[in-house]
Amino acid sequence: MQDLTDKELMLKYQQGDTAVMNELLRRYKNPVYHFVLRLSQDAAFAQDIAQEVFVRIHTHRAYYKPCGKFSTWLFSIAHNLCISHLRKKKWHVLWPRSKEDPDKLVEFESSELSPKDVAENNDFSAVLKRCIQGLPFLQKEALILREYQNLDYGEISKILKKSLGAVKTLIHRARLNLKQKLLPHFKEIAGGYDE
Amino acid sequence: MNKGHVLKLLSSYLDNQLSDKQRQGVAEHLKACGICREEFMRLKQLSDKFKAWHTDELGFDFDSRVIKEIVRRGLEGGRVKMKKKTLAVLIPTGALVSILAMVFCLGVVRNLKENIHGGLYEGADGIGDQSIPRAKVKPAEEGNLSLPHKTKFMIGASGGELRDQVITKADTLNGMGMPAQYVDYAAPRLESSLLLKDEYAKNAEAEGAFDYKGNEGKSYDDESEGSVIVIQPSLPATAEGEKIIRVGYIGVEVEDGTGAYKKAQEICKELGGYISSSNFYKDDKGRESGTITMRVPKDNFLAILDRLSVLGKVEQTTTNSQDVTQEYANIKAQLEAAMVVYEKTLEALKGRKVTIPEAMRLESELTPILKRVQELKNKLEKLDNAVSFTTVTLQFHEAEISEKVLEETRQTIKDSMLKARIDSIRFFAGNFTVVVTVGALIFFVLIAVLLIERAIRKHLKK
Repeated sequence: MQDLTDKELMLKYQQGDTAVMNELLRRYKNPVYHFVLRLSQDAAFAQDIAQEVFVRIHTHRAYYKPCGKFSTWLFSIAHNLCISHLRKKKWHVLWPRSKEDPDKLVEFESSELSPKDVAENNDFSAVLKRCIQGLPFLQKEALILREYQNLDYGEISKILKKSLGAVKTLIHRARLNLKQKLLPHFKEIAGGYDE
Repeated sequence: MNKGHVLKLLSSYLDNQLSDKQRQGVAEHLKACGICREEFMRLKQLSDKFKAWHTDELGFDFDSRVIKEIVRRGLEGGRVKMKKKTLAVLIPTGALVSILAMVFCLGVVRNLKENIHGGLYEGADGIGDQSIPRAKVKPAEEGNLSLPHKTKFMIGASGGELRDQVITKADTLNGMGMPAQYVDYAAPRLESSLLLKDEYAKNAEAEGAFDYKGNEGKSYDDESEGSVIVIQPSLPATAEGEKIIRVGYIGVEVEDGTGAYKKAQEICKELGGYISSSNFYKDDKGRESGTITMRVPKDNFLAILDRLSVLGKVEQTTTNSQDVTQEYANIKAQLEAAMVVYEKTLEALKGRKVTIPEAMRLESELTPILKRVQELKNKLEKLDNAVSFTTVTLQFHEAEISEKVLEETRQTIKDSMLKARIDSIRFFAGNFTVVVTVGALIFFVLIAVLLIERAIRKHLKK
């Protein structure tokens, strides 16, 4: 089963071979989980979404058409789940509440890094996470799909349901925004040019 | 490419997402342009920095969680399907049951209305006779008399075949729940009268005085009516020379007292009779009632009873007969004897030479004989008159709740209901838009309330 391509696996799964799910999980559970985790930076949420993605694959296996890449379909499901969850969480996004005191409204976290933050946290990974978290959702998603999932622009455009040009722009602007956020603290990537 | 910067293409160039021509152009430009080359290097360094974000791998328990969730969803999906199937059965069944319930309710309401009307009739029927419960009496058809089964059976039966019918009748009375004393009372009376009727029938068939055959077989009407008993009255036949005095009484509940009074007079006149006495009065509630005593030729006795019975609901009919043949014969014999004495006395007075004192004695004897003859003649005339003209007494009264008033009330209720229906239809027709709008508004408000409640519940749950 390990020799089979994704399409072949899905065709077998459509025919009723439930053992395929184990192979699909082996191949894609971590990519999906990492994608959602980087997008949300919430491990529990990422696990829930990843689990839901595979459940959707099972329940919607009949709708899979082997004309595109399986990974595109997979990340499309993950993207849709994230979007729908984001919509559902609008209340909480608009009026987030403290866990300790639900009646107390918490302040929005600023994506801007203060020098103090950088001084206190020399871990670049933490800084990067925070900077990425401050990007607009679509830019963040497009950048993650490109940088971490190594998907080409065509696949990303299908997942995000955007045109190829729009994806190029999203990724380009994401990098510029990220550079602007990181450059004050990391001189090696600093530069005088601003678009 | 060398003429301007390619900064916008650098990101795509870095990701190797440019066409060959564009990539070649950007590569040539980067060799020549230091700014773009520097920017490209920064983007590359930034891209390399992304690798620093490491994330943990998912544990093995994730697979089992997914599998369990799939199984659970499968079972839940089955339950949902079952639920849908159940709903698909329940909804039409519920609709059907609702329709049946509505039809049933309408039927109940309709029957209730009919029962209320029937109750009004029976209530009106029962008024005026509280001591003895009165059965519903159906007005008799022309040529028949109707009698409630709880009235006394003063009439006789006619014809030999009627004997069986009377026995059947007694059984029927028992079967209908008639009190035993009435049955015990009525059946022997009918039975005994049959014995007489057999005798009379023989004579009557010979003389054709009464049409017995015509009266047979109509002793009662539709058995399905239950409490309604219509018994054809019949009278003893009179043989030649027999003298029978007949008296009849009929009590009728009428709709219109004045009309009944006039009608009875007309009937009496048509049948060759005359009004012996009458009275007509109104009580303080406006109910009209009266009594008419009529004398009609003996041949029209049954006919007048028949005609009077159609004036309204017959409450009581009584006929009575008195045989005066013997009395008539006695008087006649006495008269003949008296006449003989009278004639002989008169002859003695005329034929012989009598002295004055004897003549005076004979005259004084003749006077009481003459008086006696005259009295006997009067008696005979009186009996003749009583036999040839029967006496029929009609007593009538209006119901306490007049059928007229009931009919008017019913008509008023019908008119009111019809008017209410028309008004409601007009209202809906006139305010159709408003009704639909209000209905739609209520519907949307309900939907909105449900959605808000659902959202709040979810919010609180989270």
